[in-house]
Parts: sequence; C-alpha cells; structure tokens
Amino acid sequence: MPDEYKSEVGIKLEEEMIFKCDLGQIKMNNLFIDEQNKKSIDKIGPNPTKLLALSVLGCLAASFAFCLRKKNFSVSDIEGKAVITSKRNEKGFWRLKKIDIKLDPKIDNPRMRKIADQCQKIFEQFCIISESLREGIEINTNFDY
Amino acid sequence: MIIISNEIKTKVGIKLDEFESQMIFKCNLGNMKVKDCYIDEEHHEEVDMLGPNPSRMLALGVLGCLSASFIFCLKKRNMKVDDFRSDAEVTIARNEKGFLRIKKIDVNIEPKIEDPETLKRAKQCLKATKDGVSFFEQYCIVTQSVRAGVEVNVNIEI
Repeated sequence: MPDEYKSEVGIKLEEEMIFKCDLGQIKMNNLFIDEQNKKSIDKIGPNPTKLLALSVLGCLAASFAFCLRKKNFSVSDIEGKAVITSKRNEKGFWRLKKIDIKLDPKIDNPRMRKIADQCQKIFEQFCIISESLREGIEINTNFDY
Repeated sequence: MIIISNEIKTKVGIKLDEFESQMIFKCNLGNMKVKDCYIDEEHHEEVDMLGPNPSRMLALGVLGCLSASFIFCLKKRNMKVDDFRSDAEVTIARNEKGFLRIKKIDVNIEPKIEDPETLKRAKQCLKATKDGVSFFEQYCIVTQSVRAGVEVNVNIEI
C-alpha cells in the first residue's frame, strides 16, 4: 500500500434537506443523507452525525476482526453499537462530545478469547478513523464477549 | 434520538454480514427507510464494493453536514438554491509511527443560485467569523468536531 492515497465521494441535493450520495461505481443503489425528517421512521437515510458514528464503528469492528485474522482466528459474528453524545459548546453551537462504542464479537473458545484479549490492547491503532478523530472527539470502546 | 436539555444522544449499530472476509458489515439504522447499507472494508476496487468504507462514510458525514448547513443558512431567510452538488476528497497518509491516518478532507461545494438576493445572502453565509471559519460552518456539528483531529478545507463556488 502506498504511503498516501485519496478517495472521493459526492452528494447532490434531492429535495429540501435530503442529499443523494454519489459513491461512484460502488454497488449501492440509493444512499441518502436526510437532514429534513426528524423522526427515525420518516427518514430515508442517516444524518451526518450517524454517518460519522457508523464510520467509527465500522472501522473499529473491522480493525478488531483484522487483528484476529492476523492470528488465524475468524469471528463467526460481531455486533457493534455506537451512542453519540452532542452538546452545546460555550458559544452555544452543537458539537459532538463523545462516541461510546460497544463491540460484541462472538468468541468461541478459550484460545480465541486469549487472542481477543491481546487484540483489545492494540486493535485501535489500526483504525484510521477513530485515531484520526480522537483529538477532537472522545471515543470510548467497550467489549462484551 | 434522545434530547436531554443541552445534550443529544443518537444511536447506530452494525452487524457482521459476510463471514468469509469478516470485513463487510450491515448497518442498523433503526426504523429508517434504508434497506441496504453496508460498510465494506474488504474490497478495494469501487466496482466490487457493496457500500462505502469507513473513510468514505466519514467524508459523507462531513460533506452532508457542510452542505446542509449552507442550505440551512439560506433557509433562515426563506431562500433556496436552484441546484446543488458537492464533493469531498479524502487524503490518507502514514503518521510518524507508520499507521495510516486521515490527513485531510478537501470539500468542494457548488450551489447554483440565480436570484441576486439569494446570492447576496449566500455571500453573507460565507463571511468569516472571529474563529476563522465561515458563518455557515459554525452550524455544522460534524466538521467543527472533526477539525481538531483532521484538516478540513472548504471551497465554495458561487
């Protein structure tokens, strides 16, 4: 892998505060960013805050699975949850304060548990996203296995 | 979403979707009308990917937030854009320890505005505040929170 690489995304206004994502040739029909509808049931896509949380969550889960894979272990399942807390700053603007992550990988045997414990200590270093964001946002990771 | 006075909590979830690679996750977005949202860390060629990888997802978060904030700034005066598109380029580079990190996100926003009054307001939205960022950027929760760790450059063509 080179020392530096670039990727691109785009969006286009669909209506009011709903944007259609342009993900190039990725096999995804319609992904919308919905800042219009407030209720989850009315939304046709995540808002930017949820996209950011999904990005952190996906990156951490993949980094953990990657760490296990490097030791020749495969998880049969991983579930993850993220809770984002937004708070007003001293000037009254909303800012993301913290993201609480919970990862729940299915660990099948004691040997794998031992490796998972080792991975817990190092896997975050391999996550491009969370480690890039930590300067500005508190990110806490918790495991349940 | 739970609002407790000056604090908001939102939730998302993921689940491993594909056993073989261990690198494709299905998003859980609650009751939202989104059928297939995947985070794909397995494939490297766009044409093979089932969904964005985390860095593209982060870029979409920043891009969506800045775009909505700009339109929101116009909407505050009951004004609208005639058309709108924007794009973001994410640069990933190794840090001094050799780990890959997001180095910067370059955002390009292209609103189409014909009406002179709306154009005037758009220029107000672009005015720099004391903090050195445009007025509309102050309203973008994601970008302003990300900026402490990641360089975000915004270019608007009006």
